[in-house]
Amino acid sequence: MLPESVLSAGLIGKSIDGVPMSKSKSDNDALKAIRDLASEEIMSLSDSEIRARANEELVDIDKNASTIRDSLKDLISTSRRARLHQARENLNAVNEKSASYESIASMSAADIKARLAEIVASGLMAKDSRLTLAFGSGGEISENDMRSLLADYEDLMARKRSESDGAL
Amino acid sequence: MKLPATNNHDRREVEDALNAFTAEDWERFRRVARYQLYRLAHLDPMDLLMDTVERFLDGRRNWPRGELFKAVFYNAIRSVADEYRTDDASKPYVTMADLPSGLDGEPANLDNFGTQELSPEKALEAQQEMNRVLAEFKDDEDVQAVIVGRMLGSSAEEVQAEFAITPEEYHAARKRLERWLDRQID
Repeated sequence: MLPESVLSAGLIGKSIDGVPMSKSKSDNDALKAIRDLASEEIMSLSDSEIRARANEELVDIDKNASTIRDSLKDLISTSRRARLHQARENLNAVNEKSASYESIASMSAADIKARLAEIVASGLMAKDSRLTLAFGSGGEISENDMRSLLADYEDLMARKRSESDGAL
Repeated sequence: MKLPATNNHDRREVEDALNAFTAEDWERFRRVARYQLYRLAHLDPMDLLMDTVERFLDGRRNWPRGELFKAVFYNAIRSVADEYRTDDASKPYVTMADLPSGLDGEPANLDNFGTQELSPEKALEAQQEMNRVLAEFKDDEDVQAVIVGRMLGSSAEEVQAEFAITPEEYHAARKRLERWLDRQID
């Protein structure tokens, strides 16, 4: 039995220290408690009890399960296709990157400088990018730095191209 | 020795666990989804169920090693339903006609309105609903004890000790509550 004091005071709506909770919070907590208690009750039913309950309510659980399994099959298949697509894209990106590194490695310093100038002139790079700033300052860039910058920018441009292809 | 990348089961194991659910398991989860959507009548429990499944398959939800998948899945349903409820609660009751036009002259979207706070209408609705529950169980002290105990975060054993009810009375009260909720949703 609930103590009379609890009932008359209306325990629902009081926090653990007895201070009233805000009305909307306590109401929502109480409704959450009800939802969870009912859910736990369902989870505690044995297989035969849940079947009996379904029969009582004319619910065909085998048919429902079959519908769910069909949807599950579709979801698994979609999810696998999406993962495969992503894996292929990652692989392509890696391949493009290594091809780009190989081709840059075989370029002469003059060719690299010309290609970097081409990229700057294209306006594709932000005005405050390392490359634009380096060219704008007129300072000397070492050959190694140029190779590394070119590899980075070729990679960036390849990604931009792939993003714009994906957006189409 | 190769260490596992994470402490979670991989996708294949998640797929296998989902495929291993029996018809009875799915029925339990369907009913749980139904109860968790209580007062969100415009949402379909099957959509909640499949949305939860999808989140496990695409990696938004994980199954930590050492935990029972059924328990993890059960909690995920509750959590996704809570997300739906939060989204729903933040939307005020307005019709399209109430909405001002956007800058481009197009009608504004309902999704552009509301905050994460419970709207006054929703708070009132929750209060009315709670009054209805209390009126329903005004003579059933065991059910009241079960609800109050849960709100206070007490375990079943603590509720039984605190309110001097037996385990059988506790389970019977929870069953009455569940049956009542089932009738409300029908």
